[in-house]
Amino acid sequence: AAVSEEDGGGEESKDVDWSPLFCLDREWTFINHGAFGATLRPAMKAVTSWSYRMEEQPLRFLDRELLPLLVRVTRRLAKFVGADVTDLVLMPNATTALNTVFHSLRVEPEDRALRLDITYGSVKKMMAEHCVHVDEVRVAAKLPVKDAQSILDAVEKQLESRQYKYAVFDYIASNTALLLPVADLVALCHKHNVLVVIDGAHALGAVPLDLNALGADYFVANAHKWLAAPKGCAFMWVHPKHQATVRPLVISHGFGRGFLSNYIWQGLRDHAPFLALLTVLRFWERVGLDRLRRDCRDLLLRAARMLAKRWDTELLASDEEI
Amino acid sequence: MKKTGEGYQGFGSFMTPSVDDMLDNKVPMYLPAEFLPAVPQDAVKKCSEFGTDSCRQLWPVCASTKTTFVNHGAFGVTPFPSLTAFHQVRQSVEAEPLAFFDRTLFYTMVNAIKRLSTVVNCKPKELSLVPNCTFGLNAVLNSLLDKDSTVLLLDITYGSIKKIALGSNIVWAHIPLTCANAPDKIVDIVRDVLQANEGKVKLAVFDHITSNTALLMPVQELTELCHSFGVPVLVDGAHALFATPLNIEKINADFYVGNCHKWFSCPRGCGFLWVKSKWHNQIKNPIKSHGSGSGFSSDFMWWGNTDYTPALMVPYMVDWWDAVGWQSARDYCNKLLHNATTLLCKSWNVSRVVTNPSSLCCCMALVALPKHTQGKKMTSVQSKLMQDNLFHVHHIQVPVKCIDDNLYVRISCMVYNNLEDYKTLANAVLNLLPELPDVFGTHADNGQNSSKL
Repeated sequence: AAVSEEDGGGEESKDVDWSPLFCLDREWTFINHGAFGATLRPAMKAVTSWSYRMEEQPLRFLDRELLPLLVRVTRRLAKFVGADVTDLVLMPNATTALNTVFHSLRVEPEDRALRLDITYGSVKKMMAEHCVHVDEVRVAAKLPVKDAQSILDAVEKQLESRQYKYAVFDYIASNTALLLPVADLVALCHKHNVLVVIDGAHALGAVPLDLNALGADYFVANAHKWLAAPKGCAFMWVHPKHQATVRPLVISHGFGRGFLSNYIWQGLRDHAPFLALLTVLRFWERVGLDRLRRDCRDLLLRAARMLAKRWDTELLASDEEI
Repeated sequence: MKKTGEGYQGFGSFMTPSVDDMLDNKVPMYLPAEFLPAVPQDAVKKCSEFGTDSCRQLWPVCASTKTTFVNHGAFGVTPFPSLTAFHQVRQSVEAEPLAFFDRTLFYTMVNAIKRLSTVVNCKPKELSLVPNCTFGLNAVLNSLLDKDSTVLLLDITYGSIKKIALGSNIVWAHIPLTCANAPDKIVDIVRDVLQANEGKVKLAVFDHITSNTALLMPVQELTELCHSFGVPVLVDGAHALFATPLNIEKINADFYVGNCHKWFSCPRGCGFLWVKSKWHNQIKNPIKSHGSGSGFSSDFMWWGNTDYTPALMVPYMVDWWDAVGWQSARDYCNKLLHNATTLLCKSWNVSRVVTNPSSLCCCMALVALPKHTQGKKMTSVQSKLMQDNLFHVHHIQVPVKCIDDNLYVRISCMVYNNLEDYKTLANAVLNLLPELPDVFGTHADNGQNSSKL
């Protein structure tokens, strides 16, 4: 059971063939969505549509239509992730957003930053350039990783040993594919007066988000990964108390007129990926993400267990919950 | 089947060789056949019939006969065949995203850099592709300036540069519009400012073609001048690619940035940053990622995971203009510019801003609006009012600028424009004369001195 594009679902999603809804060439066995995502076909159509509309009247579109549309996209996205629209800005990708966060986090030479050994490679680079003293909590030194509590215990131990200015955690780590207990990590860090940066590159779409409830200091995420949006669309969320200090890395006309204004225009680029987010969000809302996530997770666990058994090996984590 | 491996050669976990090796021609280039569609020859032929309906059909802004588009300089326009190719390339990427990013992207980016470097005459290893000119400007200014630095700007420079430089001290060179006919005066003015601030200026920034005033600046002379004072130069060539026969090495600045989406007409989302080798240790990508720390080319090559299609279209547009003919296309645009400005000045009974637009303007020029109230100062309120009326009432896309208290239209002349477009503009403005006393003032002769066409 193939699905048509009009059909948002209705059947048990595991009995249904979703592949026509993606642009992927099905001759390949594709089990690496996490790397660079894969775009939904209706979203690609939307991109093309916006592209043609823009090209026929570039002045009318860019001068008069674009900014209100971007605000509309921001509003929809904010609602989807449980955030206030004034706390969220669209970015080309999580990499840009993270760089912006680090650029804004003032550190003195004696300040310390904390991360895990499983933090994403390029984030380790960013942190190394940003802060002289970066400490690493080793959660994957001995495999398999036990469970969420063992990670929390290791972090707590480190936080009690010295004072940190900020800590960075991947919501879902890249290399190890572990789901970290971010809510508890945020609480733990705030208990010790440590600012928290959550790299949610993989989180958007994969897990339900409620950024207001999470209460981190900074949160970034990509839309092109598990939300299957076109590439070039991501967001940065900043707690209101830090917004005045967050300075864009690409300054242009909007600079100096407030948080959203600082980021809404980063020079002329192709805005179609942002606009297609309206199509993407509408799609997932019709399909019903909760059920889909459950079914994907079922498949994940069945597949992982099957491979471990066939290869006579084990999962990286003993606890399937992480 | 490979039975032994050499490990990762490039940065991050990309499967391609190091980009430096690719740029140095030390490894064979792998460019998948048919990845980038070929430029259709019939489209090239039609495009070469500049200004005719045949040509106009290729450009989306001419799709509606109701609108008149004389503002290519604002955001550029890409022709339909390019738009089709653009979306095809996107589809190809999305059909096999892993194969593309891991194994193809950097070959295609390096190829794009090599092709562009031939067009603009520079070393490929000094050229990088960036999302847009704004990005490149920020990269250079971020890398070089701090709150104690002094930067020299022209007061006619592009607005956002003033914002980027806000964190530093700015010394201004005031360039009145009367310099339009005397580029030597511009050099003199800048010399005076340099002398007055000798030893203090860390960087000078010059627009190659200014945005608001549509003037070709004497960047080679200005660079020589600044170098004689020991001041490095950043040239903002946002408009330059295609509009002028760009020769980066000849200008000999220290940094050069440009856009691909304006006159070069590539789909939006790609610009370029050229940095002379001696500065490579200092100019860093403000967006750090896998390529950081591996040299200039690697640092700027990976923008994070995003849409690279605009950059991938650069070779397509190079092929396009190679086939159409860069110089013949430019010649058409500049000849039309001359004829259009003549027509408008006659119709509105105004004098030329630039007496010889062909030599001091490239594809765009200012023309003063008719004014009947002497001494009345105009502001951006009136210029916006005028632009809105031209758009809403007459469906004409042209920017209206307020410069030195006077109003001007900044007309663009591109390969799809013809003289009829400017006749329409001429008449539209005359029609608006009695309707907008705020802009034109009241006049007794009811426009008798102006000639309708």
